[in-house]
Amino acid sequence: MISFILNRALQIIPVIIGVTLATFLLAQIIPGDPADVLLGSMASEEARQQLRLSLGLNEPIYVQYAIYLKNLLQGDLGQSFTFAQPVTQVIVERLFNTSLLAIAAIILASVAGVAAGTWAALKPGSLRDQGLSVVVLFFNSMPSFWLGLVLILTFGLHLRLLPVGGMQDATGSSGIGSLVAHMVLPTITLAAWSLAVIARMTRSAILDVINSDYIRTARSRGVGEARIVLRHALPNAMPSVITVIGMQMGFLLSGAVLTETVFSWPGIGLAMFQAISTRDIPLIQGGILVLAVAFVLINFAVDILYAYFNPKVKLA
Amino acid sequence: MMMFTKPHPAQTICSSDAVFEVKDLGVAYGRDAASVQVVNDVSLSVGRGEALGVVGESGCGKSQTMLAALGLLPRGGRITSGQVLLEGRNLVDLSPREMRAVRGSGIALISQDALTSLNPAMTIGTQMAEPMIHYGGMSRSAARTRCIELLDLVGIPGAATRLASYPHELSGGMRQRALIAMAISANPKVLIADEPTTALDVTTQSQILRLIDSLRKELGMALILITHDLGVVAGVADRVAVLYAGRVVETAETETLFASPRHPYTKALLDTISQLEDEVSERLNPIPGLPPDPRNPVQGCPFNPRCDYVREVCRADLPALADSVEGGRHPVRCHVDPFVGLSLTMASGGAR
Amino acid sequence: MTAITQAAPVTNRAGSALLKRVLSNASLTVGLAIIATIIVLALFADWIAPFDPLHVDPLARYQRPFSGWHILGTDELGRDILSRLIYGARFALLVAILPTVIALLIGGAIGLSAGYIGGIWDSVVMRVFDVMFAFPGILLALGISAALGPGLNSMIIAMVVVTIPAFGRIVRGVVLGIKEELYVEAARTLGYSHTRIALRHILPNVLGPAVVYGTLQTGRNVILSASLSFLGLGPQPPTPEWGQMLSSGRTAIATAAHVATIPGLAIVFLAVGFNLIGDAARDMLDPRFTKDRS
Repeated sequence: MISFILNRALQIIPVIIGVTLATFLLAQIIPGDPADVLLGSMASEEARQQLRLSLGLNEPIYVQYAIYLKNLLQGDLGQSFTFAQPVTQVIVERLFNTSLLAIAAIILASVAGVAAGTWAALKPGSLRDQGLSVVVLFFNSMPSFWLGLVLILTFGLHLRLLPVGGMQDATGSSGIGSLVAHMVLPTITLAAWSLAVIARMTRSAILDVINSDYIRTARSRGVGEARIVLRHALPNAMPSVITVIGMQMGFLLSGAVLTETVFSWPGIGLAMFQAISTRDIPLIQGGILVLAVAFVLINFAVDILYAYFNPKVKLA
Repeated sequence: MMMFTKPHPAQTICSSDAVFEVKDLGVAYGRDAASVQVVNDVSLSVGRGEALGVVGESGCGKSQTMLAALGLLPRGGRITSGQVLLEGRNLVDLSPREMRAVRGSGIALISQDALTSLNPAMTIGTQMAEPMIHYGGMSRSAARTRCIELLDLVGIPGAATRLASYPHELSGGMRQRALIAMAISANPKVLIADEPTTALDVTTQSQILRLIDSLRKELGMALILITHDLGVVAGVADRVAVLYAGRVVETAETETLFASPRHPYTKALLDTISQLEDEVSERLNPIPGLPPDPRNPVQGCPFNPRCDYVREVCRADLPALADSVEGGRHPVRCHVDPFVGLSLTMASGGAR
Repeated sequence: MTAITQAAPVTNRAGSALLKRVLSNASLTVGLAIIATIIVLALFADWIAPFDPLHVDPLARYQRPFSGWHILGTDELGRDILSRLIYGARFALLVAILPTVIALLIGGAIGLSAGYIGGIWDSVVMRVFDVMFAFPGILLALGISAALGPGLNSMIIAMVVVTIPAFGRIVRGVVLGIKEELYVEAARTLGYSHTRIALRHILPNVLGPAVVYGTLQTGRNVILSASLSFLGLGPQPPTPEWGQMLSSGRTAIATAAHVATIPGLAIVFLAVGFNLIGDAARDMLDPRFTKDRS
């Protein structure tokens, strides 16, 4: 097990380095004076000179990258002029909010998705199965922000059931109930796409498995259908499903940008949207870097978990 | 509730009353115009404690018949006609719930490939004990004891530790033994073994066959042994039914079948055995030509394209299963009946 | 016998057999009908659209659908929404299909070279693809788009770059799968250059997975481009692009929801069309060939 973990860790290090390189290069393709870009057009001439020196903007590109890496390792992602704070601080302050939403969404998407997919797989070709296909089709065709707007319209404005934005009530009351109420719509919005993908994947994984010989063996010994699905089919279908869930985590992280914007949820995503409006490149860069690295690490963790629960993979 | 405790051993082998019978069974896949009949009108019976061999090439419908009997046909398959009688009770009419109660304790199945027939994500012990605990009302410790007992019975050494193993950790022979142990765990009245030795090497094959044979004698089960290899049934079966293209073409007691086969197909099968005495794999098709595709049924007798004794009538009409010679104990489906020296005329009486 | 000979031209019989197959698949037919409708709207916008999509009418702001001359109402500047939808169909199709085609060509070429040449070039290419796949969802496209500045061109460039790795992997996979065959044939038939053989062998094998992935990716592009536009990275106002329309309509959601929701419906409609075609393609062609990277 340990050697497996170490092996995997070695494999992802080059990827993470590559991600930093790619993010670094993003800033390089920007047309115009880098100092302008990084400081905003309001900056003074001295500040620009300062920046040029500290980032080595007059040096060849690999030196600049080295400086960038060095700063990264020290936790310095540059300065956000939109928030007048170091980018790192902006991100750290909002990390919790985004994580909260992302975790809630992945739980919703996984549980509801696996349940729906299993339910449909029990009677393939039936009405419920076709119904699921239609729902999946629509969830996969909806931009999340449109779904969010529709939900706001229906539940927030017309039915007045749920709040339409932010994390807390305007009065500042911060009870759990208020938080949960504010989370409902954004979580559904963020989870919708992934729910559809997970449901479809679960359905096909179970269908793949349900015709296996060992299912027939269990049936031939009188094991009931419910147990067959839950204790025999589902566990053997789970590896494929877990892989998909891991990939969807990444999608959720990036989808947070859109969802947080629609619901004014104070997370990294909303900060990035604001950064786009003001062309705050360091913040955009920093946000992308953090989310991408988080995605790589999450997949790493999923791989480890997968191997832990699947004895055969460890031996491979 | 199923009875998982050890039964009293059977006294004698008596084949007078049929404990399990298949009558005029038909099985098809697909719908309407795309319907393909894979089993036509198969009739078999096996008595209490008796061993019946069901022999035929792959695709002849032997496995399909048994799966249909157990209600385990894969999606798309259905029974089109006939009855399946277990101690007189027609299983085809049963509700799914009633059928579930029959499986395991009434009829049990040993599948061909033990590796794919065991759940790779469950230990041997968990799989084996599952019906005992959840449908047999046994406690975990009682089930555990019973499992160890069963594993011992089938000759797996170190049974107690084996319970915690996963299927891929066992050798092929041990997996098959575990599968057998699972099949007999509820003391079925009928044990169906579908190609139990095909995936094994030659030495293990005979061990497993002897194990199955001794178990059924000890536990008083009827045994149906399905195989494509006539050599396998020689030492175990009391009677043999030969299947071709979804129909029974010959049934007789084993010695009679080997000594005086009547159907040309049976004769051809027997001829190939004597050629294969050494350890060469028998995956080669010994008889020239291929078995018929159920999607394109042959006119007349299905064996006529490959038969050395074929006549005009064979290409025109399907022969009935009849026995005009031995008083009904050796029915055969052939117009020509070449080895007896007589040819059957159409529509002669005769028992089935 | 390898397929060294030219693929037979599609005869009438093969053509009508294909047509029959297409029509018998209900969802495929619906998908094609949807796309056809949008194409018609795009092509004949000048004749179909009742108003000038850019015409501003300060007196007719935020009119409800079905309330007057404007069937689908007007937006925040009094422009007719229906006309903007119709003209927007042009961008919608462009932004969905073009990046797929370009990415297929470029990615396919890179994947082909990687699989064929192998060695260090292959390793480098795969490493680069791995890094690109490490960016989830829209993040990379967002970054490139933001870096290049808002606008249609940068959006398309971003989408192309983000789609290249997937096509690269698919083509490379095909090449690796038949590499042995290629070298044998190359050795035996002197006078045929590598390129010609490569094309004759590879093209038929690539077609299936490329079509499946391509159609599904086009469906994803609809959403991706709408998302980028929503964030302000796409064509800028007053261009009638659906995602952009949705974004500017957001402020009035409480009073004039139709300004935002109707373009959204159009986006869903188009995405459904491409997804239906993609799903049908996946079912008809080898279902095990492509991995859906949703």
